[in-house]
Amino acid sequence: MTAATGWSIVIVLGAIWIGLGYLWGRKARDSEGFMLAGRNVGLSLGAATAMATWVTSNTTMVAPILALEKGVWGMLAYASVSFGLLLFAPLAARIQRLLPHGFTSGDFFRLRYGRAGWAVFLLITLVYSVTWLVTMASAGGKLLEVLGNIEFARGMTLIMVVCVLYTLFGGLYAVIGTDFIQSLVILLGIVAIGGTVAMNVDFTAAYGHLETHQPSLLAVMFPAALLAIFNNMLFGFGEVFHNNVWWSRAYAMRRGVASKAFLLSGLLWFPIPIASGFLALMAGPLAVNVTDTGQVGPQVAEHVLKGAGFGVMAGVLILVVLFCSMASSIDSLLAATSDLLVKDIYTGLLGGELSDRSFRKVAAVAIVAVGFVAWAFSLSNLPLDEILFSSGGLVASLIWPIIAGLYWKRCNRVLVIAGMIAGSVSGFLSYWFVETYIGALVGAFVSMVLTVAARHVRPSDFPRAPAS
Amino acid sequence: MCGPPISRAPPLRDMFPELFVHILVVLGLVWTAAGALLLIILLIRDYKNGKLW
Amino acid sequence: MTRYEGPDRASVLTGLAEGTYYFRVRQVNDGRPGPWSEPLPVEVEFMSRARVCALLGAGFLVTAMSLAAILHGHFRSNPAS
Repeated sequence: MTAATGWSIVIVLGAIWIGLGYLWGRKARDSEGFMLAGRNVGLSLGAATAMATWVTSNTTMVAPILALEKGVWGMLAYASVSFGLLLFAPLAARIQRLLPHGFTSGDFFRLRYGRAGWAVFLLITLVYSVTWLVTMASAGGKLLEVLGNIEFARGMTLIMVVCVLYTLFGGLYAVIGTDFIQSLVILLGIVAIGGTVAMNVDFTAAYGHLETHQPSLLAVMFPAALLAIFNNMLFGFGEVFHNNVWWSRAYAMRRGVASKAFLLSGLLWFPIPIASGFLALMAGPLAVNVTDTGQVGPQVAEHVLKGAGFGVMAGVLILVVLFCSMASSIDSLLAATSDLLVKDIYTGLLGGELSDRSFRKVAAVAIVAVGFVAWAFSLSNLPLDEILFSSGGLVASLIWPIIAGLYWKRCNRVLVIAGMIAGSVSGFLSYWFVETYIGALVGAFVSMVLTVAARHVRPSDFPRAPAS
Repeated sequence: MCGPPISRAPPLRDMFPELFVHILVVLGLVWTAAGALLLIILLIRDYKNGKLW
Repeated sequence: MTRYEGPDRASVLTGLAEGTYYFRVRQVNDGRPGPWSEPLPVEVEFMSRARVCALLGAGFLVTAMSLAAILHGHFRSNPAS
């Protein structure tokens, strides 16, 4: 693909999202409309946005990498990350019932655990959210460089500008609306690509090749694939349970819709790592020489699609699918993180006012600020992926405090907050000084122990009614 | 690859059978396609009932 | 046995069973092959099963308890459903 084609695709898609963002953004008359799409989102849009947001470039690019390195179990383990969405279904129903006028996940932490708990939560979630956003932006830049021949800094800047603009114009309406379109592109694109590969491969011969030359990929007891399964699952739980990206959706959906939508989104997400991952298993059988593990998915896809007569459209299709999976996550992160800044910090901490006229301006500043920080970090040489992975212990330490805060009647707040801190620290240190694949597990475990203790050691009642 | 290992390690037992892997992949693709179809159907239904957003 | 022949300067290997493998490379100019390099031994060693099982066990425990806590809370707060 030439750089000109690459630029055209991104600009055309970008213009569509921005146009739609502006159009849909006019539905938002107040801050509730802007941040929570009027609290009336239905099942189809709700399920699609939850699924699309969780399909990051990681899902479509990393699934093949995991399949290449860890075989069948690699794909299945990744598919289990959908359990986070499934388990959020009952939580979302509870959130809607407990906080019918809630705005952010910060509201919950402030209500249940006071200012101290709220502060610890904000620190964890901002670190994680910004890091996630930065890795998405970087992945976008790299993708445009490899597939579209666009220089990294320019490509990444273009993606961020597009996403910031349509999020700014349209708020959550724009995010959810574009997410639906992007989710269809992702699902149908994966079927088109995967289907073409599946139809152009002699499966028995491919299996035979793997059996001879890459037998571990077919192994049931493959340590490398198995050792991180639960760690990654807990990482996923922590990510989904705590982050405002998911809480804002729970608040945004019509009463009674949220749990069904999240359940459906988890089911929609589950097959994606398998449908996109198996491409990498075909690399060996198809004699595709992999030189860069990180590119195995697009490499095999392009090889097969070109062979099947797609020509230049092969690269175009792949780029469009990947761009959609990235945009659908970047916009959600921008919106949800700026919501936290606006609601929790600007109005909550600093006592600012949010009138029907001022909310757009405040939100715009927050979105641009978050986007700018992410852009700047993306240009730095920091090991962003490592930082993201090492935050597993931090988010996993929030699992039990959230369960306790949603379902229990009484607990010892200090112990729970201690669990959040101890879990975060121990999980973080475990990642760097013991093994990378136990960070989330340790964080969740330590926090679990302290939270369970909080139920029995001098517990006090949670406040009866949610504070307005 | 330069052929099977030279040192003697026990051969890998317990591999996922071919049929299992084949069905897994096909199921993954069909399920993904069904998901897209379901979203479209739900969208039309929500739109007709005015329950979109 | 030839693993790869072509213009690329790298080749990723995955999925090997445990054991020791030997690899060597050589350059081919205009159909004339140069000398082979020194064989490079590569040792593939898996983590002990005991350790994997310990990890799986611990992970399963924490995950199962978290799941139980959610389901318990959910059904207790929704007695009618």
